[in-house]
Amino acid sequence: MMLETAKALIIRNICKNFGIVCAVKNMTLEVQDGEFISLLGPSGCGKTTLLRIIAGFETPDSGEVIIDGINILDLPPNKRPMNMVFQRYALFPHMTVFENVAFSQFLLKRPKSEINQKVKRMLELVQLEGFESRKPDQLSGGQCQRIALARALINEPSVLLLDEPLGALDLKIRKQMQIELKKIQEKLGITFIYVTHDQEEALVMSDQIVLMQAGESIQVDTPKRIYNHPNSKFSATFIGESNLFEGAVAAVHSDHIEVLVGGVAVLVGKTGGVARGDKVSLAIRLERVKRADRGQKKDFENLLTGTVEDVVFFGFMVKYYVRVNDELLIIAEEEIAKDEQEEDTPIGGKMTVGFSIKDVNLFVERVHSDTL
Amino acid sequence: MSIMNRSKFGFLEVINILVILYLMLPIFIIILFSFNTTSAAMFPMAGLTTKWYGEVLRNRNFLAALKNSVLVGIAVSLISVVIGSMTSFALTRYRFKMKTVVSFAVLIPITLPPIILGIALLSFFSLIGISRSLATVIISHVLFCAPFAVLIMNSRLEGFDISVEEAARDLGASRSQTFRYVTFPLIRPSIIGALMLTFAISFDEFLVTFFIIGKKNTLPIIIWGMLRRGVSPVINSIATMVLVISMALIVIVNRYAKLKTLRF
Amino acid sequence: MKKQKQHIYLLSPLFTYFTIFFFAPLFILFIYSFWRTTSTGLVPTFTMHNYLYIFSKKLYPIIILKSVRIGFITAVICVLLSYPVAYSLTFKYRRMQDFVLYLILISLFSSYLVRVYAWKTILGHNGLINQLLKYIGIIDEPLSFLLYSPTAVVITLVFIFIPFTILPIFSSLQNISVDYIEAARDLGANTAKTFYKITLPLSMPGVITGFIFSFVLAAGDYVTPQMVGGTEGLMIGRIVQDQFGLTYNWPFGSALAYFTIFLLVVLINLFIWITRMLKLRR
Repeated sequence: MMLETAKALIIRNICKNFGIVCAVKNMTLEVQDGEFISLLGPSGCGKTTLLRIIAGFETPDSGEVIIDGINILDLPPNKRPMNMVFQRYALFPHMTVFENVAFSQFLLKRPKSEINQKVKRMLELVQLEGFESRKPDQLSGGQCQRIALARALINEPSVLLLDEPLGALDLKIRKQMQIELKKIQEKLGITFIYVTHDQEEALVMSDQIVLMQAGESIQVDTPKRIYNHPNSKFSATFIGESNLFEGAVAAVHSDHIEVLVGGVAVLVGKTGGVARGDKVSLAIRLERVKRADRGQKKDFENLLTGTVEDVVFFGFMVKYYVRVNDELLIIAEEEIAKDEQEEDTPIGGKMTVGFSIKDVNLFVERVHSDTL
Repeated sequence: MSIMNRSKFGFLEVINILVILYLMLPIFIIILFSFNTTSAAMFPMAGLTTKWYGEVLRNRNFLAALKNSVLVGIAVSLISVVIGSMTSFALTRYRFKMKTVVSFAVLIPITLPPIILGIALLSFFSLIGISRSLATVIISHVLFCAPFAVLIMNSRLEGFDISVEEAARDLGASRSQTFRYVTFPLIRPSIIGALMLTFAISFDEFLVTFFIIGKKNTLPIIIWGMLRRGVSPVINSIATMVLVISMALIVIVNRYAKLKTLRF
Repeated sequence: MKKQKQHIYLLSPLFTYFTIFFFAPLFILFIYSFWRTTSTGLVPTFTMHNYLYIFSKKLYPIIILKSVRIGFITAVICVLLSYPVAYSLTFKYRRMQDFVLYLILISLFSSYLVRVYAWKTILGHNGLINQLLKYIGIIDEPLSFLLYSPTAVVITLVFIFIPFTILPIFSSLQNISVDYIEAARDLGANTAKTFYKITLPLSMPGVITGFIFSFVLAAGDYVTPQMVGGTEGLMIGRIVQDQFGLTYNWPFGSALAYFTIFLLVVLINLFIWITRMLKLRR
């Protein structure tokens, strides 16, 4: 099943310190050819630093970045076989759109006709034909971003680096661009290494997500697997929304584990390396917790009853904040039924919610911050 | 930012008008009296004439001094802007320990009274054995023109978005290509502003030049000589011409370099 | 920020230049102040004679103090006149900024010497002011104190240096974020309080820069006193100039110069200390 796909890029043991601050901690990563891989994490996790190391704008303290068997760290940024799309576009303000896009070809001294053709093709790709003579200050944010993309792609790089390119755009345009970027990437088959702090964006666009925190990669997986099987508290809370509970293991049975959370016993699927008395964290996706008090047919091993503390509607979904006891608040997420009335769920009323054993993720609390 | 009540015409407005009148009155006098028939510096004017302008343009000494001032000015502005820009790049793009000290040290020459500079350089040149000439003038002018060049370039480079340079490198440009095609075009307006300002400062400089100039004259030296002899209207004509030409240059250059670059 | 060492290459042209043509000459001048002049020329030695000679005649200390006083008055008036202008340009008449800047440039681009000389035409016996006052009938005889007096020197110096104080004050006012002022207003401060508590302290760096600049340069000017000062308006600059000219006593001239500088530096530090004490600065 494992095809030996060509590796577009290999990062090996990259470390980077800024003074006493460690930005990237011994990072190793393999990027497959034609893959859309996202470096995802909160600010300061080192994702941009790593990207800039690959591009050549930061020098790592140790490690290698290998493309086609060559360590490209020896090369200056202008000699590396990749191109970058910058966060704030970095379009040359004194040049026209045409000159911006054509810049790399101009430096390579390509013949004029070839340049004209290539620029035209690129502008068609990003759907901005006819914009050749405009200046960057005449473009909207989204248009700037597309020109920046065209400028980077015209060189046909094997790897394209993108540094939070959609961060400065309005929500609607951002969502549009996400789809367009993905389409372009699939069409051209270029490897994209994409930095973002927006987990939703990463989930939508990526083939692989590298979840980073404090300079380390916490989890590397496909969006689906990272979402459904987060490997740590951090993964569970950074991506998507989860109910997060702290508790202690009460009993270990043959096929399940009992965890005491706020005095309530929660049944969790069996995992190894867990003993009675261990302090653990439990994470359950909000949408995996459903109402169980209106005769819906659901087999939930876990049922909790409490008082509805808050009800939040957002569009087609509703969240119920159910307080089981002083220490335990659980949130359930449901689609609103067509005929549902607001009075059906009064705040202060009682509600029972439930979730299945297989939807609970268990993480053991560690004293040291080992890489998982 | 209209923080204040627009309709009030009070203290502030009076002061503003007074100050502006205060600044402009002598200029007005100069221009007016350049047309005076007599050389007496008194009111009312004796009559109107343009003969002084003609005299100025025929005066050999004046033309020679003008040529010298222009040559010196060009040399001074070029040298000042080159070393000033390099200094500015160092101050705005690098972090190093002595940075605050250095940025103050750059400005010392303009904080001293020019007479001190003049006599210090005079002592220096005589001790070393360099005879006074236009070269010594150029050397001394650069001392206080370079700091202004640094200030102007600082204000431009501080807000400079380096990512365009990174983008150029990323797209294949070498360091010199990046400078040539990206950095320089973007700082060119400030460079032009700095060239202009340093030229103007050098062109009009008298206080230091007096001490270290040799046989040749610059324009201010000639004017000083004329003032000692009390030849008034010609001076006014010279000043008016210099003013008109300078302002014309500013207006032309302002198309490329916004005046705002001079606000440091 | 890039690799550390490169900045040294960028800084070296300027600082080599300064070392050779600025610091060295100043040092040499300082050394000179300990030498002596004889009929044969300069004699390298070490003596405090020149400095002591400053106090041998009443004239020198008096002139030095007078120059410092004129410089101080000039600087104070400059700041007092410049501040309102800079303030209105920043907060009330923003669109006039370029216009006033142009005016300042016009002033600066006319010959310094001729501009000073122009005041003769304005302040003289038959000058603009006297003729005007006579015409209106306020006076019969021309006011003689207007020209060839310390008053004339101050009037002229203020005129010369106002542009140099407007710019730094304007610059520091520009940097005051509107948010501070609106926040103060929002919290209940009226215009006056906002000014004293917020605007003034935040603009002090510019005021101090402008003050020091005009103070030092005005105190050391030697052209203006010669043109409009007369005998009353004699200043130290002229005396120093003479030592390097007719009188040909370089060591003494140097001693005078350095002593005056020393005095100025002491006074400036005093001034800065006072503004800090009065809590006019943050």
